[in-house]
Amino acid sequence: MQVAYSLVLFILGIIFAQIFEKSLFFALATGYLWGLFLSVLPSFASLLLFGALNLTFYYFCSFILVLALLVVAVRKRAFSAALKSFRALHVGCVLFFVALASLFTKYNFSVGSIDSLAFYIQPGMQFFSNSPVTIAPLFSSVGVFLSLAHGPVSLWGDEYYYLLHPLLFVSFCAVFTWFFCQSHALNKNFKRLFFWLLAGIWGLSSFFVFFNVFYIHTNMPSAIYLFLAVACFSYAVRQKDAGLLSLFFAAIFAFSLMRVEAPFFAAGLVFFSGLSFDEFEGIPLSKLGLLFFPISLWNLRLMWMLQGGEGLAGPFLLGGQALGLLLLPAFLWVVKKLQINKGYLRKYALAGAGAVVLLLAFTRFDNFAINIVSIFVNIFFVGRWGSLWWGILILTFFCNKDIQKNTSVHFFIYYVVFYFLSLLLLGNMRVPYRLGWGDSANRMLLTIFPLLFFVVLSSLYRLIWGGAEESSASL
Amino acid sequence: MHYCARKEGAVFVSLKNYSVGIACAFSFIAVVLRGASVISEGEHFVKIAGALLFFLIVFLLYFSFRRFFKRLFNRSPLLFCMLFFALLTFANFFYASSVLPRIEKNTFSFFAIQRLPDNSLFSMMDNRGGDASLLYAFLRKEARGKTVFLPVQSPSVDKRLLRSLSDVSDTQEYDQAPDVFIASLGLEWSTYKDPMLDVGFEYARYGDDMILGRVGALSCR
Repeated sequence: MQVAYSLVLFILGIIFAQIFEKSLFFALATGYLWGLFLSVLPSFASLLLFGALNLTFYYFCSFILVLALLVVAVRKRAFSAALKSFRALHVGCVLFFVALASLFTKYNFSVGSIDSLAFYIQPGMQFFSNSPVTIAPLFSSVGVFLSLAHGPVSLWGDEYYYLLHPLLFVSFCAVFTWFFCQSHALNKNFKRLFFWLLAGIWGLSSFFVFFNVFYIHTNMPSAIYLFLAVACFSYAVRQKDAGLLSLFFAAIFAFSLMRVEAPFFAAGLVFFSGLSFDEFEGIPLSKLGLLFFPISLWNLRLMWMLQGGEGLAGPFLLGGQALGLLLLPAFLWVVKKLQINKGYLRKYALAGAGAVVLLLAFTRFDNFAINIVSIFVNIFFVGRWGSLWWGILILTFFCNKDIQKNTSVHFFIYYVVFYFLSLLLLGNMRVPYRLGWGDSANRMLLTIFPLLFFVVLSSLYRLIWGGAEESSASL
Repeated sequence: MHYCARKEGAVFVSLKNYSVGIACAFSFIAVVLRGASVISEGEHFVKIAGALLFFLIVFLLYFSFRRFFKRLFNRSPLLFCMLFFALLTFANFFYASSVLPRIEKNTFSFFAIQRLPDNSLFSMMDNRGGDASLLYAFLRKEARGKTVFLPVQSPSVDKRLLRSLSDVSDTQEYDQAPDVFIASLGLEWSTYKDPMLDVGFEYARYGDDMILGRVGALSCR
C-alpha cells in the first residue's frame, strides 16, 4: 500500500513541478519531494485552524488540492508539454521509482530512536486516529512536517511510513545530480562523470550521512528541502524566470515546517538570496508575504498555546520568528525602493550577527565555550562524520582562490557562515550542546552539509576543468 | 618609490593578516580549552585537549607542505582529486568498520546490515533504536494496556514517555532491590535480548502485568 501511496505522491509532485517548469527531467527528479510537501498541506491547514487534525477537513482539503492542481495543470498546458517531451526513458524513471519503493519495502533498514517515536511517528498516528494530542508541548521543540508526513499511512493500519526517508534520499540524489548537471557540463565527458561518482561515494560513505538516510528524524529531510530551495532559486536566477521562484517558495515552506527554529534559517536564506542577486527584485514581495504568513501564524499559535515556554520554545524565538517573517518582505521592499547597496548591507548584516553572537557569548561565556567545543569535537572526532569535514576543510583550502573569485558562490558562503553563527546563537538560548553524534548541533550540521559539499565540489570542478562556460554558470 | 610603498604596504597587510590569524587561532584554542574544562572538570579534558592538539598538528603539517600539495594538485588536478576522494572514502570505511564498533557496541553497521523481520514499528525500534527504545518497543508489544512495575527512581526511565510510547496503562514502583523483590514473589528473571545487538534487560511476568529489573543501566539515546 505504501508503494501505491508513494507513487500517487510522486505523480502529483510531477504534475505540480510541471506547472512551473516544463523540463520533465526536473519534474521526475523532484516529483516525490513536491508530492510529499503537498500531502502535508491539508493536515497542516487543519492544525493551524483547529489546533487538531479534523479528518473531514483533511479529506475535503486534500480533494480540493488535487482538483485545483489538475485544473491549473490543464490550464497551464502542463500535460501537453509533458506529453511532447515524453519518452521511454521517463516511463523507465517511473518504473524505477516503483522498483525502488518495492525494494525498500522488502529491505527496510529504518532506524528509530525515542525521538523518532515520541515526536514524529506517535503524534502522526494519533492525529490520524483522532486521538487527543496535546500539540503545544509536542511541537515546542520539533517541527510538524514529519509527523504529518508519517500520519496518513496509519489510515490503512501501517505503523509508520517506512518508505519516506529512503525515497526522500533517492530524490535528493536525483536533485543533486540534476543541479550539478545544470551547473556544469557533466554529461559531456566520462572523466567528469567519474569525478562526480567518486565524490558522491565519498559523501555517502560517511557513517553519519548513511545512517541518516534511514534514521527517522528531521535532519536529512531538512537538508533535502533546503538544498531543493537553493537549487530552485539558483535555477530560476539562471533561467531568468520569476515563475520558477514559486518552487523556491514551496521548498522554503516545507523546510520551515521541519523544525521549530527552521523558519529562522529560512528567513536567513531569503534575506541573503534577496541581497545577493538582482533577479530577486523580480519577485512580487506579496508572494513572499503570502508564503510567510501561515508560518508566522503557526509560530504565534504555538507561542500562545505554550504560554511561557523556555529556550527554543520560548516567546523570544517563536514571537521573534513570527514578527521577523512578517517584516522581512517589507524590509526587502524598503531596500529595493531606497536602492540601498545590497553588497554592503549583506556584509554588515553578517558582521552584525557575528557581533550579536560575540556579545551574547560574553553574557554566558561558559555556555558559549561548551558549544564551541561540542561543535568542534563532534565535527572532527566523535560526530560519526568520518573523514567528511576533514576533507571539506582541506578541499576548501585548495579552492580558496576560486571561491574568492567567483562572486556567485559568495551567497552560499554568506549563508553557511550565517548558519554557523545561528547555531551558536540558538545554543545560547538553550541548554548547551553536548559531545556525541546525537547532539542537536551535530545533527543540524547535516542540514547545511549538502550545500557546502556542492559548493566545494563545484569549485573543484572549475579548478580542474576551468573555462568560462563553467564560471558563468557556476551557481 | 611607488613600488617600495606598494611593497611595504603588502608586507604590512600580510603581517596584519598573520597577526589576526594568530590571534583568532589562540582565541579558539583558549575557548576550546575553557569549554573542555567546564564540560568535564578533568574527565574528558585530556581527551579534548588531545583532539585539539591532533587537529593543530594536522593543519600545521598541511600548511608546512601546502606548496608541495598545490604543486601535486596543479600537475594533475583530476588524478589528485580522485586519489584524495579514494583516500577519504577508505578512511570512512575504516572508521565505520573498525573504529566505531569499538567506541559503541550499539552501532548501526552497514557492513552487517540485516533485513528486519517485518515492517512494524516494533521491528524498527527493537533492532536499531538503542537500549531505552528497545525497552519501550518490548513493552509496547508485551505489556500494552498492562501495569509495569519498576524499581524506585529508575534513573533512565521517563515514566511519562514510558506510558505514552509503550501504551502501558500504569507504572508502579517497588522499593526493594530487584532480586529481593522478585524472590519474595517467588518469580525468576527472564532476560530479553536484542536479536541483533548485545543489549538487553531483565523482566518477569506477574500475572498479566510486567516487572522490570535493572532498567537503570539502560542508556537513553
